[in-house]
This record gives sequence, structure tokens and C-alpha cells, in this order.
Amino acid sequence: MSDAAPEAAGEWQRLDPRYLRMAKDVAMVRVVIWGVLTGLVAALVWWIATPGTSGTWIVVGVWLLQMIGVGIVWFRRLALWYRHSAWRLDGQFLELRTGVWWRTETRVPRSRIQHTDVGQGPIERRHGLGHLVVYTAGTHHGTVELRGLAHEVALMLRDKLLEGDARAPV
Amino acid sequence: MHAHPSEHRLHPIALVLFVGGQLKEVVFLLLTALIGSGGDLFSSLAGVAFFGGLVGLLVVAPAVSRLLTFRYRVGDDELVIRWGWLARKERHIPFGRIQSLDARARVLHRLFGTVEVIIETGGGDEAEGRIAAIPMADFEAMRGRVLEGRRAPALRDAPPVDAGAATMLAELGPRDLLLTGLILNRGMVLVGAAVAIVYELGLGDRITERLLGPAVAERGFFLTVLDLSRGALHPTASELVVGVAMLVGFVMVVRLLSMVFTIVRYHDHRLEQIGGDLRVSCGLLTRSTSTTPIRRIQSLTVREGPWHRLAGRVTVQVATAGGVQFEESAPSRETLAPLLRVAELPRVLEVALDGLAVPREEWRPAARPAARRQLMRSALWWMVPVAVAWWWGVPAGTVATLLMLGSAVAAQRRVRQFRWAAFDGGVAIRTGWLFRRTTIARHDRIQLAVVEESPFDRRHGMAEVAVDTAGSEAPALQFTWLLRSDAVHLARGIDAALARTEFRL
Repeated sequence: MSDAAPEAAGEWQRLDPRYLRMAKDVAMVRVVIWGVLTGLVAALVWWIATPGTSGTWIVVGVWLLQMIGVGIVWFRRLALWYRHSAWRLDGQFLELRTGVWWRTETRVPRSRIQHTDVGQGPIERRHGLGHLVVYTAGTHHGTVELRGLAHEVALMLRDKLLEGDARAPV
Repeated sequence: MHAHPSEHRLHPIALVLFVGGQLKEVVFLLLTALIGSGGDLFSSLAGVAFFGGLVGLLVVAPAVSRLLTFRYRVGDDELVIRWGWLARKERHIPFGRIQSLDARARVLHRLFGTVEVIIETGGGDEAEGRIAAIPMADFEAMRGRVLEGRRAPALRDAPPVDAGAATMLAELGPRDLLLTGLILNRGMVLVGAAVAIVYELGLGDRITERLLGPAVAERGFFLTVLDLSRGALHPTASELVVGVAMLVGFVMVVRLLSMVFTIVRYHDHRLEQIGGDLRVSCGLLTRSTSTTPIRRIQSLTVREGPWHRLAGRVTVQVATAGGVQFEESAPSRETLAPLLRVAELPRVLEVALDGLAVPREEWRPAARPAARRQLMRSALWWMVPVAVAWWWGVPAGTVATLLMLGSAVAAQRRVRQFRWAAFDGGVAIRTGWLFRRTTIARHDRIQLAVVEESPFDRRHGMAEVAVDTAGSEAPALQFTWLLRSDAVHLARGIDAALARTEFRL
């Protein structure tokens, strides 16, 4: 993927690769917290049951196995999610594809956008990322969120979406 | 702020309404004061003075202040209301922003020829303006000015219409009213309230004993049902007959209550077209009139159940932008016609949808794999409950199996009845089997279309499309059971129309 103006020609764009790195950080933190919590539970089980040496190995083994399983699921999920997410700015529309199993394809027409937000959380800021939120007057899909953009791209998208919208008096 | 020459005050009757409203809020406090004194609050002059002072302070003073400080004025292009004594407020509501201008007349209002005016602009959850009581004639004048003022800048291209001329689209006569009660079955609202009161008063057990006999009362109603389902209780034939008769009796009582309910709510229901607005008025005791600009209608839904079909009627509802919830007792503006003759439907649709109609040949059925998928789904869904029910007891197992079969049949029927249409100017969808609903949305009212795909959809080459409007109380139009190619085509068609049209709230 080139760094050239991503809005050009309305081609499908992947999320910023830095998002993958940021999501890995987040997943790592989660896995550590999960590991500590389940470790405590395992220790509690071991303490109550006071098993022999083989029993101790079983408790440790079960804990290790579930940690490996959880880790694989969490880290793979990110990569999968990243691979299945894409966006593009296609003339009148901002288009989004998300979801691995349950997929959605959202096209937000420029003529229906009420306002937009660009946000940046603390972890996002560390990675130079940001997110764009587009609001329509719709009741059920009124808020469309695009995460995992470079902050500059989010700002650029916002400007593009509101461009030529000076007509709107509201 | 200076007094404006064209400013109006409220009708004095508003004082009574304010006091009533205020009483509702502090009634608990007053009761505590009264009970806390052990009832001898009135034994001394000081007590009477204290209680009177309390009422005056909490109830009468705020009401008087509101009555005296409230002013409203109908300007050239805006409505101005101001109120408050220490903290003053002045609110300007431009005509162009007024979503609806409704009148409601409680019994007290009607005795004095006044109405309460409710002004909504479509933003927020609450009405932007409320004018507690003004003479009917003043309201009519205000409505005329607002209608005129709104027309001038916004609808210059629209053909001029005589604001005064009303065309009756539908009305409910006395017979229709009873039929409405029978069909809409709103009686459970009253039954629910009655049951809550009965149990609140601790009369539940006594009533159970009266109705169902001491044996049931001793065991408790739910335990009895549980035992019956397990096959542990063997009711005699006469007990069964009595049980069934009571069930039938209950249903009939509920329907009768429903008639009472609809008579109070929908008495003299009229749906009229006045220029670019639809006006609904109804009510036996509290009479309400609500006016909705046709261009504010986001989508329209026609509902019909088995009883509707038997009587050749339908219910017509619309979704408007701006989520304003009326109090429970007032009919929602969203119901254009609680019960409409099928023959009158085309004209109402023509008016409410501004000439948009679904061409007959555009209705398309569900995708072929849908029926089998639904069958599989209900089988999987019911497998465990049915097994558990058989393990629990024969009666429960039988009932669960019957329910499973019923759900399978219903699923098949729903798929067979499902229709969708994409046509010039809008989209439409028809769902349900016994209770059907047809929803139509104009392209220029649609916000966006989302294509959704579950793993099961992918297995069958299908997809769903969710179409969103700004209609507040309506669900999104969910086009389930489409082939993927059709779904994409539908979404792209909507997109193209959205790019062409402009949305104005």
C-alpha cells in the first residue's frame, strides 16, 4: 500500500498498520490481566484441593492450556479483523467493510451526514492513530465509527466529507 | 424585557391545571406531614395555619407565579414564549422549525373552551413549547399564522394550497369504534393495571381462592400450573371445562375492556388533509388534535392481523422524525388511522406518501433457500427445550412439541408471505404471517443502507439489507432473506438515489 493520497480514485484502503501494533498492545494487556485472574483461581483450586505432585501438574497444565488458547484467539482475532476491515471514499460515499464472521458493508452518503467527529484516545495518540465518527439522522445506524486510521487521515477524511457542504445552513 | 403589545397571557383556568400538576408532585410530602402529625394537625388553629401555609408555599405560589409570568407572542416568522419570575426565560421558535403544533383539551379545558398547545421541533425528547391553556379561537389563529409563515419561504415551489380547506380522509363512527376495540385488543393495558392494584392491595390470594377454588389457592397458582405440566395432577372433566370456560371468559372480558379503552381514546377519530399537513383529532374526555407536515413523514407502516382481514380493515401508522413521546394517556400521533377500511387505504397512502405507490409487479418473494434455513433454525432452537420438557413430564412435553411444530409452520408461512420491493422513488417490505406489516419509505427520507452478512447467509449465498430512516419509533426496514446479488443491487440502488436526493428534516 502506498502512502500516496489515500482518497485518490476511491480505492479500498486498509486500516493503518500501526493499528495492528496498537491492538497487539491492548491484547497483550488483556492477556496478562486474564492470566493473573485465572492464575489466582488456579492457585485457589490448588490450595483447597491440596493435590499431590501429579495433581499440581494437572492444575498448572490446565491453566497453561487455556492461556495458550485464549492468547491464540485474541491475537488471531486482531489479525483477522484487521484483514477484513477496509474503507474507501468514493465520490459521494464513505464506505466501510467490517466483521469477520458477521460482515457489514456500510455506505454513508455525503448528502446524509449531519456532522462528524475525529477522536484520539491516549493509546491511539501514542501510536499516532485516531478515529472518525460520522453521524446521520438515522435512528438505528445513526452513528458510524471508523477506527484504526492514522490521525492525519482521519482529519483529512473529515475535511473531505464536509467539503463543499457550505450550502448546509444548519 | 419589556411587554410586547401583541403578547398574550394564559387563560386563568391554567391556574387550576398548574395547581393540579403541582399537587401531583408534592402530594407525598403533604401526606407525610398529615400522617406524621397523627391526624391532629387540624385540631388546633396553628396546625390548620401550618398545613395551609405548606400547601400555599408548595402548590399555589409556583402556580400563581407561572400564570402571571407566562407570555406568548406570535411574530411574523417565529413563536416567542417567555416565563419565569426570578430566572427569566425567553424562547424563540421559528415557524420553519416547527415540526408539529398540537392541541389537547382535557375535560377542564373543554368546559372553558380552551386548549393546551404543544409545540415540537423534532429535536430532543421533550416538546419545545407548551402553552397550558388558551382560548380555542386564539389557537386556531396561531395555527393559521404558523401554517402561512412556514409556507412562504420553504415551499415556494409547491403549488399554493388553501390552508383552510380540509379533506376528510378517514373517520371512525360509533360502530367502527367498537370494532377497533375488538380488533386492536388494547384491554390488557387495563387488565395489567388492575392486576397490579389487586396485588398491591394484597387481595391476590383471596381472589385466586374465589375464582379457582381453595385447592389451587392453597397450592398457589404457579405451583398448580407446574404440577399440571408434570402430569402430577389429574384434573376431572368438569374442572377442565371450568378452566377452559374461565380462559374464554377472561379473553372476552379483555376484549370488552379494550372497547372501553378505544372509546375513550379514539372517540370521533378524524384524519384530515389540510394543505401539506395531516391532522388527526380524537378523544372522548381529553380531546387532542395533532398536525403533522406530510414532508416530515419518514416511513409509513400498514398493519393487519387476522381480525383485521376478517373485517376488511387495516391500521396505518407513520414514523416522524424527532422522538417525542406523549404521555401514556394521549394517543400517539404516529397512528394515522387505528382502523381503516381497505377500500380507503389507497387514498390515505397517496396523500401520506405524497403520490408514491408501490407498483404491483415490483413485489418480490424471499430467496429460495430461506424456507429451509428457517426450518433448520426452528428445529435447532427447539431441540433442547423439547427434550427437557419431555423429561419433565408428558403434558409439558406434548405442549412443547406442539409449540415446536407451530413455530416451524409459522416460520414457513412467514417466509412465504415475505415480500420486498425496490422501485422508482422508494423501497417497501412486507413481513409477518398472521400479523403482517407493510412498511414503505421514500428514497429522500432514507439515511443509509447497510448490507449485512452472517456466516449462515454466506453458506446460502444470501445477505440482509438494513435500511435506516430518521423515523424515531420505527424499526429499521430489515430486508432479510435476499440473495446476495439482490441485496447488493438493492443497496446500490438506494445509494444512487441517496446521492441524487437531499435530506431535509
